[in-house]
Amino acid sequence: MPEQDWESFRTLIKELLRDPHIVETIRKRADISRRTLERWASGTTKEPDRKLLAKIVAALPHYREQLMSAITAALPDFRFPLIDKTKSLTEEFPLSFWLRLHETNARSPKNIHFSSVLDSILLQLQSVAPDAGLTFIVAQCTPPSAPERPVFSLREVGKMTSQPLVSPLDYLFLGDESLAGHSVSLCKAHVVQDVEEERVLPVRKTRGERSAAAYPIEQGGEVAGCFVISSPEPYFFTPRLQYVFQIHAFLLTLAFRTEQFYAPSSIRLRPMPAEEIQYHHLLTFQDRVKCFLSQDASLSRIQAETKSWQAIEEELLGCDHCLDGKGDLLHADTH
Amino acid sequence: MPTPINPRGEDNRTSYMIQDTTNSVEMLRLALQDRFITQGMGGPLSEHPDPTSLHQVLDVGCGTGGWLLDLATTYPHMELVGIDASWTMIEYAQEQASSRHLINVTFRLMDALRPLDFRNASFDLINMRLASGFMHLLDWPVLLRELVRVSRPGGIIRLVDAQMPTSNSPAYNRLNELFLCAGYRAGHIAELDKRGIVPHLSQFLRASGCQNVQEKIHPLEYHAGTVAGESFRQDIMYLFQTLIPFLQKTGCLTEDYDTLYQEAMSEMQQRDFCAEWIFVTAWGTTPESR
Repeated sequence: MPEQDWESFRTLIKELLRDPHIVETIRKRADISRRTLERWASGTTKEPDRKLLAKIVAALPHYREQLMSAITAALPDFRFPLIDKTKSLTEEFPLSFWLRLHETNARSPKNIHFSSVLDSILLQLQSVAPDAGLTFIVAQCTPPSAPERPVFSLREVGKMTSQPLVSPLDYLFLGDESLAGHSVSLCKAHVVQDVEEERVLPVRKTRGERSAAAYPIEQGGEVAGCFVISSPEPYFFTPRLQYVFQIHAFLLTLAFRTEQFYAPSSIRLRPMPAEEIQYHHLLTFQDRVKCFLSQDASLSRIQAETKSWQAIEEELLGCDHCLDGKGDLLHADTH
Repeated sequence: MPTPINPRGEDNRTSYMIQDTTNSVEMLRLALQDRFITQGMGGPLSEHPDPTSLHQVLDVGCGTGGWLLDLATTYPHMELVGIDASWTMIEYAQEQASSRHLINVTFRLMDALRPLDFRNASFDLINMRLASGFMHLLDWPVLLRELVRVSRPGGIIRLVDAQMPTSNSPAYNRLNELFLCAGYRAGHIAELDKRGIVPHLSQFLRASGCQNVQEKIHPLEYHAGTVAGESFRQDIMYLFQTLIPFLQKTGCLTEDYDTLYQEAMSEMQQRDFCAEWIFVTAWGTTPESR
């Protein structure tokens, strides 16, 4: 058996111990105390328990590479489990949650069905996800204004955040310049572990966001929108969390009606302009609703709202002041 | 077709304004509401200079348990008990405590309008927030006597309630008038006054023998386009759906209710929407000798 080299592991743990914030994160997420870490660093503990090693790697995704390298130097056969088997998934998805969700789906009145199903799922997720300033966003395919037209954009329709109450919370249109749009276009989940380093995937610059994940909301191969999770921490999305978020994206299909899902071939997202440009158009929404209602008494408020969103989308897709001098669309700042 | 029996248990009949407390939407509303109210008031015990001196805490009518769970997280030394007449709420609250690995809080099914199953002098602090939702005017003196009994001598009884919110949305203000009408007709408030039960809180405490009664006013503001504004809108969106049976029962449901509701939801999404919701905390200490 080759000799175990714990030196680099102990050095790394000593380094981590210097930051009280990291020590607290380890305690909260992995239930490993400072005392245990000190015993690892000093070598009092000759070989740390492998379950605890897996836990500390999961707790500190930002240090994952360094930790894995240091651990495998000592334990060449160490493999980090993709799913943390030390914790049952029933903690994230207790039976009572399933029962409540189905009751909400079945019994909530039609006019609050979408919101109540969506909020039930996001609230549950918020109670089990790490308390790390996350924002959950649900974006829906904007219904085309004519049957032969494709879907050109997504619109944010639900948000839940643990950020302070005074924080701004706007609902924007998203296009293929966004991670959500990219995921919907390809019908595939995407994770960006550090938005500042990302060079391949599109990411809209959002204040305070360092990592993000996007999951299409699918049913029978068709897409209704996207579930986006935004984190202020880089490398936040551990394999386990990615799995948990994916399950929640599956659940979100319950909030949508069948006709709100679109075949991938009928989705052709375009870039949508930056927030500050959208803002002025979004302000006109209520006036447009009133205008549609006064013009056509047969319209319901929901129909008038849909027409208003479509009109705003149309303007955002081709508005003159969104174009630069060369006629190119000025869209959201992406990497 | 007969109503199927829920093998997980049935809720008690209560005087809570939301008639069907097993309603999952009402549970969802309360869970969301707990968060933005406690945060808006500056934390679970913002008026108390040193909560570390408190050890045994009771929350009466705890609903989904949000206030108590916040307290349990902030003050791990406390031993906390929440009671509610709704089995559904208690199940949810207990589940939240488990998922947060909180071992210093328990939730028990108990109707606050019956004698409480606690020994005399059990608690340092007793909290009761938004109790006007289930308390009739005549219930207050009876319950406060019971709270004084289970409070340790010199313990604190803390009542939190709110005025009817005011806003720049005519449709939402009209909905509030209907709510006020129903609360008045059902005997939850003394008069058709948007201040609701708030002006009476201190008086209830003094009448029960509490001393050093004090009040703190928390004017909470909600603006469209902020996290708080959106939380408030959600609360109202759910409330005025789950409230329909209560409005109907008290004869305060109008024919144009659906239109009014839609207009209110629409006006609350306007960029210039703002509302003020005034909360008042009244608290006093129970007599040292009885």
